[in-house]
Amino acid sequence: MSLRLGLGVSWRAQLALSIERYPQLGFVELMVEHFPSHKPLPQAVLNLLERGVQAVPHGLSLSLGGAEPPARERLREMEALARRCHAPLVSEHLAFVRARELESGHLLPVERTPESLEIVLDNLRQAQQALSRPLYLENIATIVDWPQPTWEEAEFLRLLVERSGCGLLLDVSNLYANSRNHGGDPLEFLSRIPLERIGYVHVGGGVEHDGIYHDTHAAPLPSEVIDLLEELCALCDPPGVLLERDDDFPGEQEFLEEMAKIEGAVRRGQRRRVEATV
Amino acid sequence: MNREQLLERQYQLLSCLVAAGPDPEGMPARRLRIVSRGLACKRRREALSSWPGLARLAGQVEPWFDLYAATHQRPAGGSPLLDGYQFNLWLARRGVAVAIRTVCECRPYRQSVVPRPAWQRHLLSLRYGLKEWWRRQSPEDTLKISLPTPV
Repeated sequence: MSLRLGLGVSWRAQLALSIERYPQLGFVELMVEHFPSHKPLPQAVLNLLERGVQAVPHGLSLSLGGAEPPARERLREMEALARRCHAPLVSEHLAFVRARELESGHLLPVERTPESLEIVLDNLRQAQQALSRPLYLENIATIVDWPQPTWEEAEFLRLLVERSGCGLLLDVSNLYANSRNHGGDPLEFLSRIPLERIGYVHVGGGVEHDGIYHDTHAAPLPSEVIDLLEELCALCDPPGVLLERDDDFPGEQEFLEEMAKIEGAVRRGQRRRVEATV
Repeated sequence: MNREQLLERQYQLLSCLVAAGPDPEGMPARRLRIVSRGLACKRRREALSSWPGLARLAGQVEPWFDLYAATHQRPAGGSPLLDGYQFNLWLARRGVAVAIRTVCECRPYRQSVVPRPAWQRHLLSLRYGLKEWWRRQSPEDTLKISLPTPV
């Protein structure tokens, strides 16, 4: 059976009521680190699951791009959450977050070299063996990048996805942020990744400060990200599209407007795709 | 490049970003500073917002957190909840009542916290109460461990 998630939201307690009342809700994303296995799931999440809303565990701290292999305890936590919410898939970032005793607390870029590729592939193999659901890899937004990469980001992602068998969680806002901060054409990026491997798509807001675009997930969706989402939907039919909002939480009216922007972009893109095939 | 070599390179970058280490070669200094500041702000925001008692001290507690963060890295695993707990411990040692209550009520467990059993709560309350009494008897100790003046 092919994957179909629909429109989704990254679940946050501050948005719980708006999420529960959103009629078109197809899925929610649950941060693995927010739902430890020794604590029960919040009633608001259980209500959604009972309603048939799908849930996708999303990790922040597996450090799949790290030089150290992913910790078994963290993989067990992800697997436990996936089982508890009957998830169709799980997702994590292509990033590293720790080295020895130091923790970054945020996603840092992976070197795009042949040696690093092999190490990340080995990490992915270990993660896939520990998880009963398909693993989807997300592209991250970066402000600094490693010098002299062997491959561009799109090519590196393609190699990883094809060789590991992982799916792709495409963050359109991260793609936009990287094109703003490092240059490059996001449409060309889309033409170079395996679009058929996309499980779902992230969109979120950000702000520019001193010439650098920060993907904060704390602002309304910029029109450029919505346009890029439309372009993506004109090229392929992603099974799900999800809004990320982590701070400066909107009221219900603004939340509905944000979801309407996403819905509109998906619909316009789909229409263009259908027209192009007729 | 094997895992150990990659680890060393990633450690250098991380050390520059969160532990005031030297800049890795070939990376723009201005951008490294931007990322470093962003990580520090994110750490503070997440740790403080994880604990309602700390969130109530907003506008007052931030310089104390920066002082704490200068000598304490994020705890292993990186959990903001545990980072906030560690900060509560730091404040409790300096006699901050809201932090003492937190430390008495819960303890770390894996990457999270759980309630303490009643006997531990009472024992810790008694210990902090005695410390407070002792501090009042020895003003010179109070000065040594008192909180910095918020900027």
